[in-house]
Amino acid sequence: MKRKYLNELKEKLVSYQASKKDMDDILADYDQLYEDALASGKTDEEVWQMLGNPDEIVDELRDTLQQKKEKNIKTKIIAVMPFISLIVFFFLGFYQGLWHPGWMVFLSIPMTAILLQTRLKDGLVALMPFLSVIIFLILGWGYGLWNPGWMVFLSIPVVAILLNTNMKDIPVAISPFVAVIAFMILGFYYDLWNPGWLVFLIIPMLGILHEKNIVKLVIYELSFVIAIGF
Amino acid sequence: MNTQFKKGILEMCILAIISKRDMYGFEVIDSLAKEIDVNENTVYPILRRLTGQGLFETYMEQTNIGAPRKYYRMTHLGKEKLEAYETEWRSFLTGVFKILGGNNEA
Repeated sequence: MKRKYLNELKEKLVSYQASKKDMDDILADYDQLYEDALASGKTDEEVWQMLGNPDEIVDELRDTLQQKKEKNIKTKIIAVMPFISLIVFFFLGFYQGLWHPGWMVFLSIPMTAILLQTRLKDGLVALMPFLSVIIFLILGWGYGLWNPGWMVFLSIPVVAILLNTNMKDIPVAISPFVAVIAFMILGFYYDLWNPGWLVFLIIPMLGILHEKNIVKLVIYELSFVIAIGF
Repeated sequence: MNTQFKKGILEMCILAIISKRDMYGFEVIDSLAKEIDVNENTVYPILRRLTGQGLFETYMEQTNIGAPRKYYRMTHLGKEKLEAYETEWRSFLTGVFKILGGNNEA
């Protein structure tokens, strides 16, 4: 519980871009406060209540914290991105005649903010909609692959699932997307809409694998196998 | 009661209890909570701010169990600040008691 509390506090301090020195100092102090509170006979819940919510703590500590210098640089880069994008857009338009797809440079404004303001994992999830749009448009305009190019949008939830789900739950979580992709490929390229729809049965079949009772598991799975065979 | 006003009083109380003897963080919170109804999670941020303002200095002292503890000791500047607070507070209370018509001894 103490580790969890300190980790939450650390996360809040990191997101506030507190300097390393301040962070180390505060975390050491809270570590000690937590230990002393436990030693006084308080329960973990009472200690959490006494020390307070990490969000509120960082709010209270704001005027005692020094922020990392790099935050200022990052903020400046984000602030100038609209101007840089506009200059690049005009350059591409006037000198290269690339008004279209030159407008896509404006996507760099939110993408830069995401890259500079979020942690790697959250940043990747947040960037996926933009990357999907870019890839979709390239596939569409460049190669005429609007269909099945739209399937790149499935990468948005898939990436979020892959980065935020426990390893053992990943197969079940991504199975609906895999099934959709497999179904579309079977349909579009091999005209196997029927019996291609059977791939959707993989979703409950994978879900059932979580059943602990082996007899039930075999019965459930067999019922699907029989249904497919029939 | 106004939050800022409460924080001001809390600052004075923290200065007052550490002026009596050096204390570690939890001891400060515990001592305050025994005497007054205080939002305990605001104490550490105030301690840290007052330390940053030079009203306290800190030092580590080894304990029998676990890691060494950080103690807070009042500085000369802290003593001056406490005196200023006390004067201001007593004068304020005297005025309040006069208005209420009760005992004007603060």
